[in-house]
Amino acid sequence: MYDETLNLAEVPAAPVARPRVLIVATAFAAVAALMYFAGLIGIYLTQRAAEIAQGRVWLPESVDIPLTQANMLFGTLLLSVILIHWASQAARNDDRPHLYLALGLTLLMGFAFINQSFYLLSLTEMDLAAGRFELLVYTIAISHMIMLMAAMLYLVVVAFRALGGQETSVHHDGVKSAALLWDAMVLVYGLIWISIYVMK
Amino acid sequence: MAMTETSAPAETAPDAADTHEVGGLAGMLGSGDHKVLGRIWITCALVFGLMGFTLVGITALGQVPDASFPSANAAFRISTLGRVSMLLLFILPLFIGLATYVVPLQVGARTIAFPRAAGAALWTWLLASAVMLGSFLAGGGFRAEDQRLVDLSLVAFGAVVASLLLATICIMTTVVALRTQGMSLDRVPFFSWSMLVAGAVWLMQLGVAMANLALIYVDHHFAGAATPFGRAEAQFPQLSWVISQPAVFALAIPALGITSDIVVGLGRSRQPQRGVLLAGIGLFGAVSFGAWAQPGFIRDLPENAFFVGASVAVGLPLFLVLGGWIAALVRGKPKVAGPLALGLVSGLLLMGAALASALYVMKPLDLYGEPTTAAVGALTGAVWGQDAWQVGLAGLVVVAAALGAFAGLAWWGPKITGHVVGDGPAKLVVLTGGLGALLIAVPYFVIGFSNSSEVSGSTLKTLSYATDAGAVLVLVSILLIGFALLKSLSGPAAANDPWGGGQTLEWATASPPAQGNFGELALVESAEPLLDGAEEV
Repeated sequence: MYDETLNLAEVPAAPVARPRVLIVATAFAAVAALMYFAGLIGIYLTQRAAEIAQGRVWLPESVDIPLTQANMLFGTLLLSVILIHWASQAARNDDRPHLYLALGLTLLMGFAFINQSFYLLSLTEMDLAAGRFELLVYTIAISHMIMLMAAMLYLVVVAFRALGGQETSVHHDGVKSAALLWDAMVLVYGLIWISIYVMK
Repeated sequence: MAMTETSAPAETAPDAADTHEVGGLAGMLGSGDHKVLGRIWITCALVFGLMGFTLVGITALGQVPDASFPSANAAFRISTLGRVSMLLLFILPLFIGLATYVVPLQVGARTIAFPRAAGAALWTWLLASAVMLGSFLAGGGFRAEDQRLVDLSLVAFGAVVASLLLATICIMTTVVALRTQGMSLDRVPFFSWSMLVAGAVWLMQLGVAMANLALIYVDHHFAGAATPFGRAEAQFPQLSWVISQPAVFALAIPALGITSDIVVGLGRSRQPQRGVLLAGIGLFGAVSFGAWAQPGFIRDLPENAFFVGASVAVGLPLFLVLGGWIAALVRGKPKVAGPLALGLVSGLLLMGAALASALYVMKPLDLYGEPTTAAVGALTGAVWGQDAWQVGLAGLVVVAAALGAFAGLAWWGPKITGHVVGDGPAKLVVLTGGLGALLIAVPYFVIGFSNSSEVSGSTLKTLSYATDAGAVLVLVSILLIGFALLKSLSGPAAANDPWGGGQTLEWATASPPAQGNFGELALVESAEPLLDGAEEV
């Protein structure tokens, strides 16, 4: 009912819209993670350039890095980006069924990526201790998988929060921050895909 | 409208009645209160600082030609531990501790962002630091012979870096997301601004340092040091960029913010051209980003155009900041108190370091040389991966940053301890710290200038003793600051604003603030909210 005693001039101003703490903190964490991979990929490219400049071969002859599987991996992650943003949109619309479906499918893509990654690494038949190329590829690939697992774990936590009714159209920072971290993880893989699997 | 109807005494603080406080050790261990966490960070950092400068002194003494160390490896391990301690156990934690305490107060927040994460960062750092120190002292560390201890040192090193990253994220998030109403980013106090800038640079640099560490560890542990990454002699040089120019300057960014706050606080007037000062601190941060300048991977780095540019440019933002300070000092004519003198000396030492950075890349001077030559050995032989000039420059920046942090401790001491802190020890630290910085750095610069091999044994001995004396003076400075804070506990209680010129929100609440920090805060309408209130009265 309309309250006739209410004087609109006395209504306090709406609070200033601030970036939410969870999203801000996730963005900072994502920057640190991006710089970690920038450091690794930077060292990879520096070592590669130095070898090639000296007329030597960077990719060992005994190693075969197939591109087909790497393309599939990247495609999987690109699809997962659509799915995580579908989850974010569903949370914004209070669309619970679609939120759970999108979160579940995103997690499924994550598991599929891990499975394919191990298959790809087994195809290359690389020995970790064989040289700098192998060491760098393993370190970068495993580090990325750890980042993916961290993002998946975060997604599971968000899924439980959603099941508990804490991710709503009013407050869905959890899903948005999980999407941010997921995007950063996919961006990292994009850099890995170009520098290791395409450029080799 | 006056800025505050605030000054939260314990009984009126909104959160106080709702909070079930646990006292004693359990309360401290489980606390997410930023004030408790900040005090522990600061105390531990000062203790580790004492240890670090002792190691710097021992290393210099051990390198005197007629003195002896158990072995070259022992000298190297102790030397690198001293340098790592300066960075990860002293300077960064000291600034993080100060920021954990002060930043939420400055931005009008009731708590730090993610208090439990901030607590987890503190205890992880403390535990990992203890493990790292233990592993070094038990025979681990860079170039050690016991491979398991090397692995343990590397893991602990990584955990220390990760915990510092987490603490930094909590502080930055507080500045970005927990500011009180009306406090736009350009109205944030200088120290909080400098922590935001420093945090951004630290996040990026420490992220890259983690990448270096990961490569070293994977090679050393899983591949048996099959590649150059994990080999004993190559481990430290891969990380030495963190304490070399331009990256080392990132350590000192918060010192600029602290001094800026002190200058305007004691001057009791608004900072003229405030934006220029903010831009100066921001530019200094941008130029000091040096994760790309890794001598372990880039040959002839001092001849790299970007490196030359960054090395010369790092001093330019300092002129902006110094100009801002002079403008505020001229307008305010403040009395010379200990914190102000400490902050200004810190700034001057940074200017000196910036000059040294520019000289380093001037080719005719030939200041950079082979990093591992025996000729440099007398003073830097234990520091393969850095030449003498860089060791001196790092020492200068570290002590400059430390003096800036000490200025902050003296300035916000009443807020931290709740008592009036005597000004005498801080003024004494100006002498001991300033002289200590010069004595630590100048011998290395002399060796750099004299092309190492031309320095005679007796000269080296004298220079080594000078470095020792510098380390002792810095030790005395740490003790003096610690003594001043401890002694204040038996002194009179501090008022909300014991300096009488506070402009920012931390001076509007009790010393120390009660749970929840503030009562009801009014809308902030300028960068100096307390001056707004005073002017309206």
